[in-house]
Amino acid sequence: MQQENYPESYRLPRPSTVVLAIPADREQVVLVRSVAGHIAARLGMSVAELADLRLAVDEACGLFLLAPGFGTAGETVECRFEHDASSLTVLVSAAAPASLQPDVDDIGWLMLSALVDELTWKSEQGVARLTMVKHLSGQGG
Amino acid sequence: MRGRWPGGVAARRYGDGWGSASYYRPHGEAGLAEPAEPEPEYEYFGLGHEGKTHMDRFDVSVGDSGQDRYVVTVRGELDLATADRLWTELEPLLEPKAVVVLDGTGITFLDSSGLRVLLQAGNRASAGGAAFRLVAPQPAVQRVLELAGTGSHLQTRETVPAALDG
Repeated sequence: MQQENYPESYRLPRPSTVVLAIPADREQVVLVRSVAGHIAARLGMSVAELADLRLAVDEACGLFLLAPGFGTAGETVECRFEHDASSLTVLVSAAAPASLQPDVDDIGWLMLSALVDELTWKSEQGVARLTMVKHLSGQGG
Repeated sequence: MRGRWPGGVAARRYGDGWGSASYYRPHGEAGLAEPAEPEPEYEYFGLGHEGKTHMDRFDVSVGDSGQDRYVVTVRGELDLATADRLWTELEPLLEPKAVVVLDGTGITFLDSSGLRVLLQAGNRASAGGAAFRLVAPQPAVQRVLELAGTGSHLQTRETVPAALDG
């Protein structure tokens, strides 16, 4: 069948922010992947882009949850999904010592940098923040 | 080169229930092939154990094919939470002269933690005179292998029979 006119609900939604906070527990990462998947579909991403985004947020959470010593003080990992017309920004952050740094030679980091358009790590005042930006390809609407 | 897939039809959610990448189907122009990966209806599947059924998102079972050949079947999500469970099953099998085939055709999600276990198995096999071969042609796995640039680090085959043969 030829491409139908998409109903109103499939147009790119207005800029919005979704925030999810999980305990520092590897089993909780499925929740973040699930949220990312729904947001990706809502933003008109392709099946491939959606899978990539789920993988990216998983790897991002892994940078925290797999770090030695992380999670022992009951930390939570916050995942913030913000989008506007041109991009989706995912911010993953948690209370962490400045010594917690991603290993840029590790396959997790290498995969992550290939999956998103912009990737930055910042650690200040006891909080580590990973910012990922995915440019939207203009689908939807 | 960025690890991007060209174009691609938009993902649409069908029905209600557990969110999952496998739950999204392509919605677009005619003539494009469906993705060749398994698409379970839910992220979780029922596992019978001691007369009860519980839901899990990961399962590993070992089958003995005789003559020191084993087929390890992995279903569901192989990630930072479940990877250790796979290694627990895999490690004892990687003895000299063993052939261990990982049937990963049912893997719906793989991340770097899961990949690390696969690479570890490959290394352990090489170092110890065993063979470890992966069967998982679907995008969920192939995409990760491509992004991580594993190239020749993992022995892969198209089918389990081919992997058992060599």
